[in-house]
Amino acid sequence: MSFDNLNKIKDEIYGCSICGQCVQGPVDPFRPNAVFSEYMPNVTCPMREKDRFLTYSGAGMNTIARAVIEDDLEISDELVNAIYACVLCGHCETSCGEVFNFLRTVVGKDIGHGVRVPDVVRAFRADLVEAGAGPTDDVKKVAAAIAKGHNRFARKQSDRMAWIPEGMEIPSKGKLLFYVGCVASLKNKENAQSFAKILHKAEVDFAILGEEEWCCGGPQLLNAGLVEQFEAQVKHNVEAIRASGATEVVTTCADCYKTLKFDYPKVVGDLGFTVLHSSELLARMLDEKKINLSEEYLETVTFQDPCQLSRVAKITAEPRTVIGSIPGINLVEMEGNKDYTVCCGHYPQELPETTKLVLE
Amino acid sequence: MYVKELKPLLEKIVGAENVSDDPISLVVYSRDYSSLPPEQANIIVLPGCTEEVAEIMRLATRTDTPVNVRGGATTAALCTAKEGIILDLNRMNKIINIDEDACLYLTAQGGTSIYQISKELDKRGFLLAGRPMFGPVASIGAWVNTVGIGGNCAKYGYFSESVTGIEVVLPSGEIVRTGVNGLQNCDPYCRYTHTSDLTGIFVGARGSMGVVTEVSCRIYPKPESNGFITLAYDHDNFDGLLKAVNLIFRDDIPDTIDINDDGVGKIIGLDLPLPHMISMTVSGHPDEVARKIKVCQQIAAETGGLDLGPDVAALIYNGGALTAYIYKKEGYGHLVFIDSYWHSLEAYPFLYKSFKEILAKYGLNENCIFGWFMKGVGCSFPVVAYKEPEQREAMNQAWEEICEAWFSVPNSAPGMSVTSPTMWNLDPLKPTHHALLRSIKDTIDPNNIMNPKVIPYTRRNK
Repeated sequence: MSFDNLNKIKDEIYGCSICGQCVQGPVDPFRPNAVFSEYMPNVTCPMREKDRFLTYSGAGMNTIARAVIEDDLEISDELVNAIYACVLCGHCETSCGEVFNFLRTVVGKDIGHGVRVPDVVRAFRADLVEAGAGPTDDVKKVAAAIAKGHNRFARKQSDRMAWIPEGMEIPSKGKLLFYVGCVASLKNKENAQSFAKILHKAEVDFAILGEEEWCCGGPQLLNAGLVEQFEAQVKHNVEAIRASGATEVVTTCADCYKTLKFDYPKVVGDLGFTVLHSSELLARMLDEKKINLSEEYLETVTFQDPCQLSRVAKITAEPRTVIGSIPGINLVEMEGNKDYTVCCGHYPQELPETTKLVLE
Repeated sequence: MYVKELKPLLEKIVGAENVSDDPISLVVYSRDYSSLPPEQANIIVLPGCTEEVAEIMRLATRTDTPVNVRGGATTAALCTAKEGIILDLNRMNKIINIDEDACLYLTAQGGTSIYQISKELDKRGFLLAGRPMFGPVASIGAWVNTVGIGGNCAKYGYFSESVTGIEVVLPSGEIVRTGVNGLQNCDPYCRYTHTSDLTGIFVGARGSMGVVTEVSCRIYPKPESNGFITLAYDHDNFDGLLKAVNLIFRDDIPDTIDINDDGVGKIIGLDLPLPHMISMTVSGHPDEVARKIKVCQQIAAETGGLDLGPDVAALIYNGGALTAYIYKKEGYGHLVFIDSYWHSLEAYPFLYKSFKEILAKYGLNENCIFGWFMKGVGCSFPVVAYKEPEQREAMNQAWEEICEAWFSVPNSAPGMSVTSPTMWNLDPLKPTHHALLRSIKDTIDPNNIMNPKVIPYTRRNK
């Protein structure tokens, strides 16, 4: 095997010192942590929590990558399974790069970054796919569903509009497009319904793509190393969004947001539209007084920063602004928030055991 | 015994999910935090409790299988092995007890990370005697095994001096408790009793005497406030620098004091006016902190030093292991801590000069020195960034040369944690010391199955 993709990011792989920072918090537990996060967690890596061997960690991924590049390890089913066990939450990269973040923030010196383990894993998976060794069977099933029906749940595309609240008419063309995503369209419909109701009540016009909305392809295809299939999704969705006349695209899904905003331009260049997370739009609407909240909600709540939204996209203030605008609400922070949020364990494929552990 | 026969027996003890002999995991566990070549053991085991460790050790003794214990693996060469079992303690990560209302001590399982413990103590207004500077994953059991030095050691001494007792599993599988916990009726609140200090046999043993499954240690109240100060000295004023360190200790000033060179400044683009620094943290009531800083300023004036104010020390200490971790700098990637050496204060200038000259000879110019000091004792270790794999060979050659050079200096002794290409050179030990150590090792571990490369003169390595 040639491992072309891994060889392109060799510096990342060899940059790993196997110091263990990827599995046990940031570098210094003694520093006041408010610079980056009020509450740094003990737990960083979901796969390490599930399987206590160091193999299943950022350091493990780097060491395996190095071993295959140096021809010290053969490709096997066990190896493929190990490489696909990573949930790509990026916590390892954040912890690894914490000292650089510190220097950037406190001293204003930009001298480097943490080892980009998610990039290493994606490259590794792309090489495995090219060699015919990947992906795993579970991933293949999801990819086949997307190829056949354009969504990850093997449902009919016509079901994508089943979430629309009764009586609500949503056009297919408009300046603001709501990219609903597979999960909110087909599974957790209340997400899409709630967001649409807010827009509707605030008299903000919006459109949807309906059956022309395909899976964004980020978590299930790009992250699985299925690069060509991902690019087909990108091209279709970008053409459909452009045809809708949208200048802004908003999504409630952190994964869709990250994929549309950061991964799509790598395939098609300038998108020609802006991508917003729903929390950004809602914060803007609050600022513009399009939403006025007067009723008290006397509950204590917390916010779990989604990995892709907080760590990759750096959207941490807007969700808190929105929650904080509700009269009477008490927002408390969890151990592990913002950049140091703990992965929900649900990404990129559904990993029931990991999810259970994180819940615990 | 072959792995094929060993594996099912180990699985029976800890469960199949906690045993691995797959080539992927063996490769991952073959490397550590150093430039040394990988070593591949036969099997990795993750015990969950002391009783499981005891059963594993009985099996290992019965089958004459070497056992290498792994905590956070932030030391070089100690955690890899070319044969036998790697005993990874990371599942044994529970804080068992924190006695904050009476005797001020805690007990934690050997695999518990210092990070986890420090965080829990911080919430309660306490701290450990020290803070390892090798990364958050360092475990408390391994820290006992490597003596334990780091931040705050000027105030509290080595971490091991605060240990009040340990639970250790011997190669025979026997479980021993030390300190007063070795008595029938006592919790581990005190290290010393009416018999010899057995804890000391395991402190600094680097896993060669047994598996440390529990550690009890003193906890200390967090100080009211902290301050930072750095004094700088020129190349031709080592005398002034050493005198300043002595005066600072006479006034009982620092929590942490270390001698750095300007390598750290250069790498992050800080232009320091003088090349040698004494960086300190001080603590106490705010008035006391102010007084200590004023005394340091006076000492600088008396010894030809320059007061750089609080910023450099704050950067070094607030950045935690900043000085070391910045060597992840783009394009360098790998770093290595070269063997640390205990040494007298006067030995420092020679150690510094030889380190710089040897690294320059090998073109390893991204480096700096850490010199932690307690009263009268230094522990210096150079930190070097090198490019993997291109500069690995040069790195290891330089490492060996530095170790040899440092070893030849009067009042310079092999230090706390890091082995080296010269590997546990025990020749300089006085014969009686050597004989006693060997006798203890042969009694506890007659087949030398525990981390056998640490004391290589016993039976296995003959």
